[in-house]
Amino acid sequence: MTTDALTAAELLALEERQLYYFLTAVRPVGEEKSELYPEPQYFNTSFISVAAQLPRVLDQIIARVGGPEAYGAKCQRILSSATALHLSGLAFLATWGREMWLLDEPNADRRSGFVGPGIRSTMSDTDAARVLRFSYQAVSHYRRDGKAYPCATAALGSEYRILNETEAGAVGGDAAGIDEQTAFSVLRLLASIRSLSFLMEGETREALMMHGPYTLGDDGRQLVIFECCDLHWSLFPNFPIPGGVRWTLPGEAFPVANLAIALVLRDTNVTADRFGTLYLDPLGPKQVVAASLLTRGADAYTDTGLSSIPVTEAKALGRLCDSIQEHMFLQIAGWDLRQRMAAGVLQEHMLLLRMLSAAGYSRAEIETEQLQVFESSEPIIARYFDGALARPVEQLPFYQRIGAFAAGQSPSLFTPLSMIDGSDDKAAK
Amino acid sequence: MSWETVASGLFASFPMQIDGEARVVAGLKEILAFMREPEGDQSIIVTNVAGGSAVSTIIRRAKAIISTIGGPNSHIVIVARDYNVPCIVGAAGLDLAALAAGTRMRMCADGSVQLWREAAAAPTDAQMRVLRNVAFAGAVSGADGLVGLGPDLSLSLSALATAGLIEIEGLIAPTQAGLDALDTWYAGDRAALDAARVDAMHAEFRPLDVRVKRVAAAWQDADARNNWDSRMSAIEALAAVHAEAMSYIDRHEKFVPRLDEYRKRLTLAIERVMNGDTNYVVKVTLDSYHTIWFQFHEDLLRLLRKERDPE
Repeated sequence: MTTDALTAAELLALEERQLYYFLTAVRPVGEEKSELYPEPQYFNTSFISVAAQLPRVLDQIIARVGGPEAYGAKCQRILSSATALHLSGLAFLATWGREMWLLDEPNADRRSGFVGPGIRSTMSDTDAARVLRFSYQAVSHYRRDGKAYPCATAALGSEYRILNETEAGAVGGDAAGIDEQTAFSVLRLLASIRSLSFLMEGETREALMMHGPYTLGDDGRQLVIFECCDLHWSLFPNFPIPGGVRWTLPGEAFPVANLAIALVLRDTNVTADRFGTLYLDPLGPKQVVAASLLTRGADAYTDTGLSSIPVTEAKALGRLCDSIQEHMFLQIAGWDLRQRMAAGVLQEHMLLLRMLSAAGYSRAEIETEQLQVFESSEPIIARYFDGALARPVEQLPFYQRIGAFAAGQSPSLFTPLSMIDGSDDKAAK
Repeated sequence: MSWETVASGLFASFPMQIDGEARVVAGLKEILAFMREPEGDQSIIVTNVAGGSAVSTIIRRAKAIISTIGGPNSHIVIVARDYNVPCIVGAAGLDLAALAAGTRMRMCADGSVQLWREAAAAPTDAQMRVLRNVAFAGAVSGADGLVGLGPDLSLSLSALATAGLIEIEGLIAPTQAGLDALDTWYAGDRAALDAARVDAMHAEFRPLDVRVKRVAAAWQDADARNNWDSRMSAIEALAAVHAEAMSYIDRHEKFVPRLDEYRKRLTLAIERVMNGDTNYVVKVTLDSYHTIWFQFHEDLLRLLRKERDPE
């Protein structure tokens, strides 16, 4: 179903329905809990801040690539820095951030957006509608089937495909047949990368993406591609974490800044959620027929084209990944709760930079933008940080609300959109 | 000793039966402590989070992992599957605070979580005899109501109460667990007896029982009449039947070794009688011949699964 003809109100209702599926089937309310990052307190702060900057960043993306159709198509490739998480996340962040803000500011003027001392960013209801529409249209041009989500009636669908048959066939054809021991090493590498990314991205999947399955031939083989778009976190040491602490990158860096693992599988059931995570069951060495490792180079913000790494390197790369994870974990584990909260809040803003990078912004432009993002976020974070950190999850108004919504005790979640020019939301199209 | 199911969750990664030692890792400090330990035998890690950011640091060293929260698509499940580590999520019934490190734990393929419970030490034979005699009486008002059980009676009662086999609040009485334990005890003895032996033991005991009861009745009658000749006749009759009772025990003791208890007690009672303490003929508050015989009879009936003859 195309979403182009839907009004903003209808899109909001659609987003709400997809969220209901997600909350009841993928991520139950109350499960947001990390040993490291105070969740969802850091979400409650960062989503407001990120949402407030979305209109400006969206304008920058549109200025560089045109509309959502072009942006979706531009991201439709292996190891784009913006993926399903970002494109669907636009709608997710806009609606969650707006609602969190409204609950914290009950007297807010929804037509004006975020306001406050030193707060320059704004996201009015018209902006929210615009972001929502951009998100749905971009995803529709990102997914190969033209739909905005894997399934209209459930959280999980059967696929999340972004490559065409020719592209997928080429990747599958290049994948090397491997023995069980090598398959084991490849899967361990995947595990190490995924757990490292959960660590660095504040228990989110913002640098991760999986797509597929792509059918290869008629013998039951299918291709899935796992991606991590940032293994260097070169901008993380710039995070202004309280107490003057800074992320320190490992002495021995991962040899590439991004990595895709293409797996040719057999006898595995695949399901997909809207944020580009595939659930593969079973997944073990016996299911892996062939594999390949692909990268776009040593700089997450400079694309040098797709190249391959010998799959025989998987074991050594996995070990290196584990040692990097230990190095990074020991850093954050030594920080206090306030510092860990800040690390979580600040990393969430990297999503904006990755979206700009996918639109074609250069490393130099991204570095400038990082300063802008942190400068813009500072007053908003200052306003909401302590309040969120001090409250347990059950006292965070937004989480009270989604808890009731997911439990079926509340028929709706989001405050209806109120357009600047009245009830007509066509202007937001 | 047995496995006790203490919680149930969703076995979301590689469901299978797994036994191991539990290790609670429920916070940053515990993760750091775990990381500092040399890699040894893998434990079943038990945690209270469903994220992958920190637990994944140690999950590759786990035999398996259990979380009290989470669902089939939680990050912890995704990471566990990647690492080929079995994982149960949503095991809300697990009490982490009460889970000692090293507790033997079993993850069952259906998602249930079991702990190995060491049962209390099995009751000793002396304690089982006390339990048996309490059961014969149904209930007694105190330890004074139990005779012939040796100097450690109070210790035995205390141990039986701790094991939940008797109640000692107010009356002393067997619990259902105590009665079940007795059934098991008798079943153990009975296993050594074939049907012919059971029938023989019962058939040979019945005439002896009739004779002992007649002697007891004769003694009580003589006592009531204060007739010494009748008393002497009763004692002589008791000595005669005692000799046959010993012969009975001799024939069957190798199949039921604990019959030796009755040999000793009955012999002691008859010796006391012969030595002039005639209270040991029938007095119920002593370990008299008649008291012992009553217990002997009751014991055999339960052992042989026979009913008492009509009086």
